[in-house]
Amino acid sequence: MLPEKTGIGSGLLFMFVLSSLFGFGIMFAPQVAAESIGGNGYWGVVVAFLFSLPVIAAVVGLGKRFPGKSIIAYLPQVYGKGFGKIFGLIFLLFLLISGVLFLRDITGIFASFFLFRSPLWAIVSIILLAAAYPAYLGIEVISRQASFLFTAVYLIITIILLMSLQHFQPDHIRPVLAGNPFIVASGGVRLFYCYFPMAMLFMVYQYYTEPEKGWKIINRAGLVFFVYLFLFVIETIGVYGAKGVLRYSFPVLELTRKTTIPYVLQTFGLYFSFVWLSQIYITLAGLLYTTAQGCAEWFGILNYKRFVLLLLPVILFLALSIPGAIDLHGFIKAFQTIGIWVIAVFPLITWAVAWLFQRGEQNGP
Amino acid sequence: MFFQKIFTKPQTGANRGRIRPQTTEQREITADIEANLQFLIKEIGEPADLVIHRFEKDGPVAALMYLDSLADGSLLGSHISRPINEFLMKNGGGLDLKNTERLLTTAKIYNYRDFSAVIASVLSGQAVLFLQQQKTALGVAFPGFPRRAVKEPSTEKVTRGSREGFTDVLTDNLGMIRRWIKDPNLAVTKLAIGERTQTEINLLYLKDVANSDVVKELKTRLAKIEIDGIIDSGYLSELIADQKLTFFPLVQDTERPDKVAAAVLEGRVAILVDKSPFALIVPVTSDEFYQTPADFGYNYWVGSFLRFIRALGTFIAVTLPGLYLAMISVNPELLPPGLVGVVSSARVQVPFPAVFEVLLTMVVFEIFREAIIRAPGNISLIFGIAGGALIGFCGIQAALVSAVTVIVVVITSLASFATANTGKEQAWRLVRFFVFFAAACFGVLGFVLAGLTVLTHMNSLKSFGVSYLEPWAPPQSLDMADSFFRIPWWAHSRRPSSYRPQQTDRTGHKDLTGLKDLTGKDEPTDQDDLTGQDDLTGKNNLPGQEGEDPG
Amino acid sequence: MGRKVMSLVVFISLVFLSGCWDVEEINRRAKMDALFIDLGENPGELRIGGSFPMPGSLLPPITGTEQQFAKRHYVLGVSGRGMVDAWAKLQANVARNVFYGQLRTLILTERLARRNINDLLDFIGRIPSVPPDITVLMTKSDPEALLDMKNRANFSPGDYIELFYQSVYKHTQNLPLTLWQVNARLDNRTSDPHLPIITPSQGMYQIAGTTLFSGNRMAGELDMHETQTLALLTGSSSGYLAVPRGKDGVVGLGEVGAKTTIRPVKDRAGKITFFVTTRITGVVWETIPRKMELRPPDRRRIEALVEEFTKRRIIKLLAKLRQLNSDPVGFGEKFRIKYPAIWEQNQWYDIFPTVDFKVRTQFTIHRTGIFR
Repeated sequence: MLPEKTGIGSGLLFMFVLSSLFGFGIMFAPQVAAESIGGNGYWGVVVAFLFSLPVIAAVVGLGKRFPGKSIIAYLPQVYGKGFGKIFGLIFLLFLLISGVLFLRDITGIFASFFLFRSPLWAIVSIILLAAAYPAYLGIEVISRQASFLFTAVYLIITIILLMSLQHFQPDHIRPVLAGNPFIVASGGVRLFYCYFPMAMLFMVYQYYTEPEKGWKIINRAGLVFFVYLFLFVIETIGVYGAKGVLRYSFPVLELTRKTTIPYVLQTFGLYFSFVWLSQIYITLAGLLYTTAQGCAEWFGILNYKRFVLLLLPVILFLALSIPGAIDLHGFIKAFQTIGIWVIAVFPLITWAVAWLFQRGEQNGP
Repeated sequence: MFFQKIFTKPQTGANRGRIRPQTTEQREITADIEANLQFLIKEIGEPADLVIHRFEKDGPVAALMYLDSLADGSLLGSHISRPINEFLMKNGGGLDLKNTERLLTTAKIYNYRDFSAVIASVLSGQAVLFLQQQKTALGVAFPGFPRRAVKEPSTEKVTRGSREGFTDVLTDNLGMIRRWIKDPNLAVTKLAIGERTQTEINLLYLKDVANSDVVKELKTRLAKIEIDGIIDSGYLSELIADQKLTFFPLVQDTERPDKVAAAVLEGRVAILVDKSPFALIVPVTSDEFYQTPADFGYNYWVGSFLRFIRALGTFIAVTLPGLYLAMISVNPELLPPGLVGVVSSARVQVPFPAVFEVLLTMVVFEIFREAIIRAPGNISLIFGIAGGALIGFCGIQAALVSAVTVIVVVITSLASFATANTGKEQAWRLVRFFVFFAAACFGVLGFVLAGLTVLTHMNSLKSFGVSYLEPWAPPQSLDMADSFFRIPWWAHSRRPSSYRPQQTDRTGHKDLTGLKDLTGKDEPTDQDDLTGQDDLTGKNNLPGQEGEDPG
Repeated sequence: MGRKVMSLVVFISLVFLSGCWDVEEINRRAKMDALFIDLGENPGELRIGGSFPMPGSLLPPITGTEQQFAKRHYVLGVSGRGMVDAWAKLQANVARNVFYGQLRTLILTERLARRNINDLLDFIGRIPSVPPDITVLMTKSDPEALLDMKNRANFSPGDYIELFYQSVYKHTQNLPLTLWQVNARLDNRTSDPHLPIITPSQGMYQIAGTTLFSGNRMAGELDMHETQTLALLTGSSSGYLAVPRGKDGVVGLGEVGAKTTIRPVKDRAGKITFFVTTRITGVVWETIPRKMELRPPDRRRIEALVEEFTKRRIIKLLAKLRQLNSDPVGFGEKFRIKYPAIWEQNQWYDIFPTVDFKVRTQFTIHRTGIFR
């Protein structure tokens, strides 16, 4: 065999980050923004984007300090063996729970819009199984998948974004510069959950082949995602009004569902769900893969593939054990708060500790 | 993998390792003609087409041995028997190795010293001449086996482009390629694969362009093959593929010499197999199956449009039945109301569930397709009318199938021919059923998930280290544009980077300032013209010279 | 190696994990294309129903057969305590499964609208199979008879109404809103919904005029001319306008487009005044008495006439809106943007009846038809 190109290049990393962020963040963001901030909730998106910058810095900085290692591998190096293992486990649990909640949340969409009578376990199972396949094949295939879909998906999304401007009322997003900065900031913190898939980078960055460009590439992906998120939030609030958005559980899908071309296309919702499904496929596969990879590293076993298979029933069980939508929303709210500590605060502290105690490579930043 | 283990379990006991023919041990040719002939007859039996011609002048002098079915008897007579006989008449003997070689009026004479080589050459069509008192036999080739004329390829027809297709004879095929590429760097490596068939195989590549890792890897994989025989290049393509368990072709096959020549110029490796009109090309990406020489014959706008149509056709061929089913039986709310009215009205009397109805129609059409290939020419026309028109129409009238279903299935079948390669098209045929069943169970969700699963599978494929979906994944922006559009030649300055060629540039800009007068005496001759063309396409053919960036 | 087992597992499970719970052929669904909701006979009861296109009758008809002339839909109606109860009874009355995915229109009755439309629309909005962009109409007559009528064009009611609204020229006469728009207005409370009025007329449906809501209750109605005036304020384009001229004369305008700017101003005393400026453009299609050629003095005369006429109409309309405490234009939205702090403190329905309007109109002749 030819020497396998292990690792992912800049293009693939960009696509992976963008797709997983889009899949995770786009659907519910307008609702969170409208609920926590109001008519100009879009400023919260900007705040969330700013919050994501230090996280990217931590990814790149820690990656530079511990090249070829994932967070599970270098945590014991930073905090000592015992604490490192515990923190690693918490991080892994976080990845696992985010996978479970995310899976369960998106299943709701398909259960309520496309498959009314199919039992939940069937929908969860097929989505999970389909996503497990790329997860099993590894990060390279996942990112290649993202890359292959990129052109078509973002072309369609952009068309949908433009078409959904039907019935857009600029009055709904005005006044632009009003509102309490404190509310905007706290709303931005809540919206930061859109950037949670960045947690996967702590596991994946070790395979990146051009680490000198890391900061630029991840930022670029984050920026593209930010633009889409920003536009979707503006558009959804502009169409429905801040209070009107709160009615819907899946505001962005609603936005596209109401968009039609008479006689030709009954609804754009279908196309949006197509392309969005392709993105959540990436997100979910990424979460599964990183969790399995993390487990393998935590237990010190080389092959992550067994863990993908082992995790399937666990995730299935956890996803199905959430009794109903109301509990799910409670969990998600709590998770959004906890997540900030795990994704943003904890890596930054780790970075600071590594810098203070001179752990890892000395020529690091 | 468990089933691979079952299938490839080695034989035990007496049958062990019986792939190789029971061949002669290494044995030297003796000085006694009769003994040599007797030994050979014992080894290869006495086949009906074996001819032994003995020259005698006071006892045996020489003997010519060949297979009548492979060698041309009359040519052998005039170029071998006649000069030897004349020599014998004139000199009355005294034939030795040196003057015999001078007597034979043929360009190439092989010398053999042991029997296994003699047997191999006789079986491949050479005539072997034994001389008395000589321990060396002489082999000459006057092939006399039947060969097919060069015809237009039947599977890859184009309206604009070369009309030549490969024949079944390796040397002819090689000649066709060589007429395109007159480059000393064109490496032609000869191999023989198949323990019993000893099929001749030629690897073609440009030494200074093709990625040397790929060439090395290909040679290793070919060397690993142990098989009794190669009947068609299809055997090889399966044996050298990176992944065994996939229905997507990981090796490109083509009947068109112009495709092979273009591929070699791109830095890929072509494999010609004797007795097979299909050449293989590696590495290959998925995009290659949607490009034909006609794209380059027409204007580039037209070429781009043709590529788009092919991609669209393939998309329709794979997804339409699944999408149709998802729409009419699981998620009809996604259709425009007028369409719902028409489709539901057409289906009112149909007694079957939609899944069954569409599947039935699809299977019937697949059977038709397969049957028409076998049907003799004039009957296939009747079949076409009877099958397509009558059964379809009567089926609708009898309310067994709905008209829309028939339309969907027919469009699907037609669209499936948009793929420019049969192997790839057959693969899509399987994917179509997979997507169809998934859509039947889970509507739009199943449809998309099945599509994504297939894409993931394709993403996991590699052909000689090149990702199957390159240039889309991993992204190569320049090639990506070229796979969607047909980039005109004047803007096409690089070879596809997916194949990682040694020389990346393929077009340059000639500096004409040195020439005195373009219209006057110094008008380039035909010969110059040719080299000029070579320079444009295969820039810098001289070994050791590196391509320069024109920009 | 292992990845192949995996691919096999995925393949097989995707195919055979089939319960096919949701498979129901298109022709085995009773597609409802218009839904009506009325109050029931007994207190606390609702009456709902809808029109169902006859399956098999929607193909292009074979000329001369009965199919061409027979009515292509049927109507069912049931009463029940609350929506869910009625909904269930409706299911019991249909051979196949009722399918709402292709619903085109929702018709409410006047007596229902005078109570509370929010609860009902919220219920329908919660059903994911109901498309969000169905048109909501209001009728004063019996909705069941209305839908059951075989209209002369022989369209099923849902198709009729969908086709009707494909023409933009009809929007200014009745100002349609879709379900999600009505819901958004009820949620935001910065403007009030308004629903077109549908009545049977000459064997067809006449959709003209609009009903006004104050919050979630119907407050009054506008005839077609008042609706056209309202369209000038909400900024619709491509309308018609007939302006009386002298005793017998008239100026008929087509392709009337209007753009209105609304500026709220609060003075020291707390009095709120809206400055409403409407810029209208139009094509002069008809002038009685006839003019061979429109010259600059004619133009000035016509423009002044139209400006005066529309101003008068707008003032009258605004007075009516204020009196009904109904805000279909979105004055509340403008007020919220300008004074967000006051908006949050006060109840708009208390403020709106007290506001003042200053109206200015401006008219430009865009073209004069195909004559000079």
